[in-house]
Amino acid sequence: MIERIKWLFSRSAIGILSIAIVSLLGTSTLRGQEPPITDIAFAPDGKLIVSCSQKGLQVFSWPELRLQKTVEVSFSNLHCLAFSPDGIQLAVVGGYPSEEGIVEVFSWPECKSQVKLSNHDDSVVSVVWRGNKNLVSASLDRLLNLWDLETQNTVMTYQGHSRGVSSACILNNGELVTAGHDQSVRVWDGESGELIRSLNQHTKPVNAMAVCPISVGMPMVATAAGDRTIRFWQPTIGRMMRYVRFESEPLDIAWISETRIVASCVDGQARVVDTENVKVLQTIPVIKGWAYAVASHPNDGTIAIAGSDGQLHRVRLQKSK
Amino acid sequence: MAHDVCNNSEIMKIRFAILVAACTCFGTSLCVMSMDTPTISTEVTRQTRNEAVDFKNDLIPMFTKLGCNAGKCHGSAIGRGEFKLSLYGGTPSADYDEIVRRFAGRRINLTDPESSLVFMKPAESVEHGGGAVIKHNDDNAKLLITWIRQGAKYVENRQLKRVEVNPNRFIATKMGEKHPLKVVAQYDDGSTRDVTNLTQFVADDSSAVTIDSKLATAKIIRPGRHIVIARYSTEVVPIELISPISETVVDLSSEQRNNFVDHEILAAIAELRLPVSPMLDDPSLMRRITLDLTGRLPEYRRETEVDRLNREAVVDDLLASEEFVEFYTLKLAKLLRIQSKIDKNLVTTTPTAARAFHDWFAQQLHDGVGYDQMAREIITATGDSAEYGPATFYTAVEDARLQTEFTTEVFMGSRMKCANCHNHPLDKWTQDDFHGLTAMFSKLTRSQVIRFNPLGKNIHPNTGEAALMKIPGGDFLPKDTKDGRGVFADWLTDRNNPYFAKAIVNRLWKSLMGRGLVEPVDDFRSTNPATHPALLNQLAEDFIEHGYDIRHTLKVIAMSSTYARSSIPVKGNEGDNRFYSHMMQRPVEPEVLADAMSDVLGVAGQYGTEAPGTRAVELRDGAIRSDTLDMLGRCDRTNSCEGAPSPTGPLAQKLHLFNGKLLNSRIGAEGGRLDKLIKSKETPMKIVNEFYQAALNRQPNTKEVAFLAKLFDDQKPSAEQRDALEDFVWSVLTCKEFVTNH
Repeated sequence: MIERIKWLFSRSAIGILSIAIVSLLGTSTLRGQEPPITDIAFAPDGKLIVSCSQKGLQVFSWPELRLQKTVEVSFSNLHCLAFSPDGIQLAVVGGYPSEEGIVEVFSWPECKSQVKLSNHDDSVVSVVWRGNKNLVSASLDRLLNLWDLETQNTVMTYQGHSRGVSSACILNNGELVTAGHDQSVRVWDGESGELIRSLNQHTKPVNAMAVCPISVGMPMVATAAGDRTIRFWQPTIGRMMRYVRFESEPLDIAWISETRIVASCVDGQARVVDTENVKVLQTIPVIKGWAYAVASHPNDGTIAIAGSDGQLHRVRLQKSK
Repeated sequence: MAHDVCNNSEIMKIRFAILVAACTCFGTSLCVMSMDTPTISTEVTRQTRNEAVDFKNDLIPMFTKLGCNAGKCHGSAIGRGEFKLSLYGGTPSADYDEIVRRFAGRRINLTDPESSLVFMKPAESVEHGGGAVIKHNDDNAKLLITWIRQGAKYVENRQLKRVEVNPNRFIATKMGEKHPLKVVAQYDDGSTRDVTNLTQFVADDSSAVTIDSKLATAKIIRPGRHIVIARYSTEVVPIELISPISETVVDLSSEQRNNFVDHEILAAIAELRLPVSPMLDDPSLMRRITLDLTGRLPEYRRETEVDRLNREAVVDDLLASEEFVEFYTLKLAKLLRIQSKIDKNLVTTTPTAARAFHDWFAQQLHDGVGYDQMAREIITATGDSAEYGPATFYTAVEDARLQTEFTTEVFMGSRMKCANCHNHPLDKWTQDDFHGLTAMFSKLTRSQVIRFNPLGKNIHPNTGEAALMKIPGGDFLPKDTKDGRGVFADWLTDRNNPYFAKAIVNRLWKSLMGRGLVEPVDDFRSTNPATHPALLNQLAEDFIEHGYDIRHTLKVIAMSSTYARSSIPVKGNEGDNRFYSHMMQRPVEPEVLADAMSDVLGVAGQYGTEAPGTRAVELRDGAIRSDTLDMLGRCDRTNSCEGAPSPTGPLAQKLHLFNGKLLNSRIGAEGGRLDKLIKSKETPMKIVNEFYQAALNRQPNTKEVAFLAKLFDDQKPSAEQRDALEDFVWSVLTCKEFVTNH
């Protein structure tokens, strides 16, 4: 039955008609995988979107949501994916729970496996690129590893989180910011690996983090946590600027612009927040279940949401006033 | 679909996977081929062919039975290994999220169920702190894998209504026999199901009963009455196992039965085949009654002595006395933790407020006000605690959550505090119950003047929002309810309330019998059943019928022949400590002991700045300074005073009695009883008799006379034997017969 729906959607006329109908309503859905989709990422040109789940990688056209290809990954639990800055590599992370954390790098758009890195004792749940030859993996084994893709070795290990690390990002000044289930946000010297500071305002595990795409001023990151808050930080000076509390726990966040951020939540809704006055601008029911991943399209004003229903959803947002 | 699954199994070449896959394909019972063995017959635990595995009614009980959600494992407050389950599966929906949704669903692998972390951990395919709790081919593993294969969905095919345990009570004829236990669940759709294999059985005392969880049998290995707890899903049912103490049937037909108390007590004794101790002699019974009802030795009312004790007349007389009011005011003051406390870090209770509350109780008892009315007035109290005693109830503890714990312990005999953090694992209380009641108390200001504060709120830890007011185990109150305490008081004091009357009659029973029918007295729950449930019900009904009259219930107990039984065991009932085949010896309360010592010595105690001659039981504030009372083990009323006292008393108390000033400085004090008797030139043996009567309400027996006659010379003046007499008085005041009510 599910395969049949996918087949119908992949056939142009009905598929396009269906998408057109649901687009009028503001959202569109591609019914597909049974396992939950754990992460999604737009290809750099914005014409494709990649999802990962226990079924592997799947590449869809955007905005049509037609399945382009399924890519087998060497491990079954996939948690995060990230395109390299030059857009020609795709890192996928995950592993075998409680056994091994793995990073696998594919060429893009060919999706050929290039490198497989393994030096974690538990699943890797987040990955961030540092240039095009290095990346940082964050694992539930409480460690972060900096990898050199050429030598395929661990260059550095960042050790300090007392529980699993859930997310990481790298600032323009080279500092690494990480967050984890120990409720902390930590700032590290990217070169020496020394812990610079630890920020402890969250009262529940941190689920996700995203760097604001601002061009001037101090870097700003947002974190989403089990305490149902999104907090905004200036990590270079260790300051929590403001926060907003939701009715439901945010699981992932993505910046839409310098002043708007979108969160996907446990109640399956997407919430758009004005980051300057920390007001929720829009609450959009998207899926029945947990919305694990949200991605903001680079330029068409839409977002993609995926989660426990194993489906990919396109959501058109209200234009900002 | 089914074909695909089976093919996958073949590819995997794993016997276990084939078994599971086949089970999934075909539903209930089936025979499948194994790769390694010719044929294996296996029955998958399912209730209906092709029915999805029921997460709430199948999976959660399985986790409970395996111990996964116990307090020492993932059911602890912070979970274990970043995996937190609700305690004993109290919140299945949260458990589902934790297992299936949390960490992006990493614990479930829908494409390869055997690789799911939730399976690999308990099977110890990966390191697991709890070891291997399931085997790859056992029923638990099959159930778990089948559920994942079906999509790991939250399925609740039917609502559990109740479970029936068979037998829920039995009397074993032989020690060491295994008794099969069977548990049947009844659902809202009318269906029933044998859930014995999903039920966890735990013996209350593992040294008395052993459980074979695989075969679901219980074996009694020590005589007596024992409890086994059967836990399936959210239902917890006690099973009472009785193994008679003796093999010989006891004849109790000639035992006197004064009222329903005796009928119930003797029925239980007959079941256990316990011999009973004889009735007490009149002087000793007089001492027991007087101490129990007035906190005094009988000497003070010596004029009522008659040759043959008219017990009813004495009981009526004592219950009508001011001494009864004083003594039971003290007991209620301890229960309600009345004492002043002035600390800048604590909610203050002024000495005036403490005394006002104490005096209020005394007046209520004096006027014979029903306990229900007292409770209602206390719960709904507002105003200046210095003027209106009941308002002091709200300064005894520091905040609204502690007030909920305090209130339910006092008026319901129920420990609700577990439900602050999670649904109570052994009782029916949910977090909504706890925080719903707390929401009522959070609308009060806690200072000398208790005021209603409409802005007060209690944040529910689960929602992060203000909790809605709720009657425990009942309905939420309408959102626009201002002060919910009146509704709570109505519910509490309703004659059909299952807690209120039982809680107080159980305390009254303990006050006279030394042990509650439910023990501890503030721990009523289905998993801690009464030793004599029918008696507890009758006492409660009788109490209600008689206008919640404390005096009436005390009289019913005091008039029973059970109450009048000797505390000296006979052969065969020495080990009985809960069936009343003999009376229990219990320490005299510190305040009563202090007064008794003062009375016998003829030297008054001094308590703080109270007027000389003030008795310890009359003290209107538990914080009044007294080294004597502290030495004797006075309860610190900052917490409950209902812990079982040590039968021998604390070591410090013993040492003070042996060597301290408490006795030594007062025994021979000028103007005291001994001093007066010596100065009046009474002979030593007369003095001995006088102290025996005063302290023990009897004369020395022949053996004692023979012994004491060797110590004293009646031909010599007592003054020359003062040291020996002081030693004698000391020995009377420290002997077990004096410091216990027996």
